[in-house]
Amino acid sequence: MKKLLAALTMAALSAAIFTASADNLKDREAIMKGLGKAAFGTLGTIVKGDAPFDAAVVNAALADIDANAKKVDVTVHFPAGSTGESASPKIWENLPDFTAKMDQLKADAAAAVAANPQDIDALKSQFGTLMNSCGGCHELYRVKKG
Amino acid sequence: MIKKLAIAAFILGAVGGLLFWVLTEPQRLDPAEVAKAGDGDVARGELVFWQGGCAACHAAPGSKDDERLQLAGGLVLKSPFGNFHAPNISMDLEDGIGAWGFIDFANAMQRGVSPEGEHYYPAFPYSSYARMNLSDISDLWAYFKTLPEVKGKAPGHELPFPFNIRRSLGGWKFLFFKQGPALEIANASDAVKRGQYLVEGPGHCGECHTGRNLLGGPKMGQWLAGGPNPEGEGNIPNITMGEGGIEKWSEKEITSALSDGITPDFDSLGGSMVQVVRNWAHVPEGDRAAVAAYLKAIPALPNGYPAPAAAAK
Repeated sequence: MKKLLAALTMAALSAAIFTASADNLKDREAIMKGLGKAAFGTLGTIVKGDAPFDAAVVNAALADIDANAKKVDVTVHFPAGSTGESASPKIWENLPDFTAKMDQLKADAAAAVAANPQDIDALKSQFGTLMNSCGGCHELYRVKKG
Repeated sequence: MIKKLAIAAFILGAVGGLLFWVLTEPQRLDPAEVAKAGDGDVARGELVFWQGGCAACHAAPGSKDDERLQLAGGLVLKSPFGNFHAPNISMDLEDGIGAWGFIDFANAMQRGVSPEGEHYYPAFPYSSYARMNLSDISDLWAYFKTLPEVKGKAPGHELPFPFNIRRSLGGWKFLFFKQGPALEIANASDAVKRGQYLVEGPGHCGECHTGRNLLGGPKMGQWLAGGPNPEGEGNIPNITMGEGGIEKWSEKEITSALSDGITPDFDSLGGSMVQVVRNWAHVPEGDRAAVAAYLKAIPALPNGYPAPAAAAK
């Protein structure tokens, strides 16, 4: 009986872990999509000159990037082996480096908000730094499967 | 009877051996043609350097800014045939290629042959560089000569038998090393022609974006349709206008993605394409637009790799 109870508890626990990690993957994708939309959609369009510079729009997008970056918790959103759609197994081979790169993004996003850019040149400088964070991490840790 | 068989076998063996030897003999450029290229132009050579992406493999991984001009090698290129280590191609006299003449450089770039007369592995994309104009090679060499000397030899390739026998690459070249354009494009505009030169030549896009057969030869019928990533996980994207490719990208979006890495669906390019963008950010917009024009003009193909498992979406 005790054994059965233990087995049931184990099963319930692993089901809970499984569901949690599936939700975490969804959260992870939502965070990444949010980062991309604000950075490459809103800010990228302005940097390329396809939309006019508007300090309010720019700073709202930066705040959005900062909020999404802060949400990322590597242990929660990138549990070992959770390759999902496009995460590379190299993440868990070089976990300290991956975590450091995420921390760098958080620092860059917070700095961009603090910089409070008021013209296109100020934005370009912050944008370049953020872009390096995105590209530098995607270079090593994202793969295309589709 | 046995004697006759033995003689026949001997003759067959000798003919076969001779044929192998002749077919696998390294072929060099005509020195008279190479001499006609004349002295190169350093400034133009720098542009060729960025189009060709030399730094992506020959600068140490993770190099930034001026470090990317330190061409001591270091990148490990994994493949189904083994691991290739990009060599030192800095101007160092002993560890690099500082002692080379232009003819040596041209033969390496366009025939995949070393000054000692050995074949290079096609991990070095001479199959693409062979399509370049000699004048561009000459400009590139002029620029190379301005780059720093860096000490240090890269480790040798790690290849199992029989891939470790360089002479056998003569067989690979006989089968797959075709000079001339990858595609015939009817009524190509000047922009498309320029794009074709850049993509098929210095840009060497087809080296990754065209899948390979079991012998490592490009599947020319699937030109730029992508394929499984030879380095392991994932796929190399289809960059034709076929389904699964970049059919939704406008020419303007392709042109800008090559310099800022931003995709039309608000993502950033990843993998080794990050290096390509770092290089192509130095290339003038007109050339990037020409690449876009070419990609719009070539046959639209479905993905050169299998659909992802149903569970992925």
